[in-house]
Amino acid sequence: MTPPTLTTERLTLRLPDMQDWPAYRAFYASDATRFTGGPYEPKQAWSLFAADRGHWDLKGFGWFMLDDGSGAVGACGLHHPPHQAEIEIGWNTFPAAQGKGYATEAASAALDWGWTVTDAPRIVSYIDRDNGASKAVAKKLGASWTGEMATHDADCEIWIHERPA
Amino acid sequence: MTSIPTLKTERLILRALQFDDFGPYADFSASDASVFVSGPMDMRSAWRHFTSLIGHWPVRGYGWWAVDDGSGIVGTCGIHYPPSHLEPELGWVLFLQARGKGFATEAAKAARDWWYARGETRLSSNIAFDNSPSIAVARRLGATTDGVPLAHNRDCSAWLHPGPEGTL
Repeated sequence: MTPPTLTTERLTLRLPDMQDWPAYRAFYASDATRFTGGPYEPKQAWSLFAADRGHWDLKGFGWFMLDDGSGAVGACGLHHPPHQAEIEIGWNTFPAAQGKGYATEAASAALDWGWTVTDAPRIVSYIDRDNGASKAVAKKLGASWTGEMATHDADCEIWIHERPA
Repeated sequence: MTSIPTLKTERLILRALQFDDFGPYADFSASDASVFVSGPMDMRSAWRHFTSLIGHWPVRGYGWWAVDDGSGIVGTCGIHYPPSHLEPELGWVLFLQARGKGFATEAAKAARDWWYARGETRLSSNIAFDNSPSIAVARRLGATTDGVPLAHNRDCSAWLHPGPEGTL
């Protein structure tokens, strides 16, 4: 398959490549990754960076870099590691680009595309109970939380995106 | 979607890792036999390592292969270059049941030949001082070390391989 590129009003969603590494490393070294296991040493961040890219080859879907024309400003996409029960859509925005609605804009496009690459009845977002910013994005996307917690992480709520009729 | 070459040796095929390899890879990674490659590790970490081996190819243009003896994956081998390292590194890992047959030397030599055929002229392997099986492989490949601990990993020294002209 040819890797997709998605475009929104303000963003291009494209596959990560080497030019994105400095911004990715800086983000993963910051406290902004505290809800997803961070901060990370550069060695671990590199492993995550290459792993994000490798997921595409294994599964046919994965995470995009978000580019607003100035370079990478965040990441967003679908993944399904074997320790997680369902396909997940996730997002992050690097600190300098936060507060602009980029995560919602990107995740909305990624979700539209996601329904075309899976026939799953729902896609979930596992969100740390204390991560209010991410839960706000999930709500804007129309997702809901029914009180269920993730089996792989007791601190994560399962936010459900239902397949559109 | 990434084009990963296939290499053939007398007994082995070096091919792209695929999803079905993850089960054996995760089993190996959970075992004590993975002690010199950051293990043992749980499935979550093994998945990250496994996917990162594949993602390295499109990001750098080279990477690691599955080593297959005809029965399926029995190890991994290839060339990687994390930014924290000084230069690209040739590495090899064999699952427990495939050791003692010379597979690591055979696979690593094929990977090294491929590297030099691309026009590269230098290659090293970072090996822990107490990893005697891998040191034996490095010696069989003609590599030598100055024994100086590496800045990014004080438990290892670099083994420099003979250049293209020395491996023909």
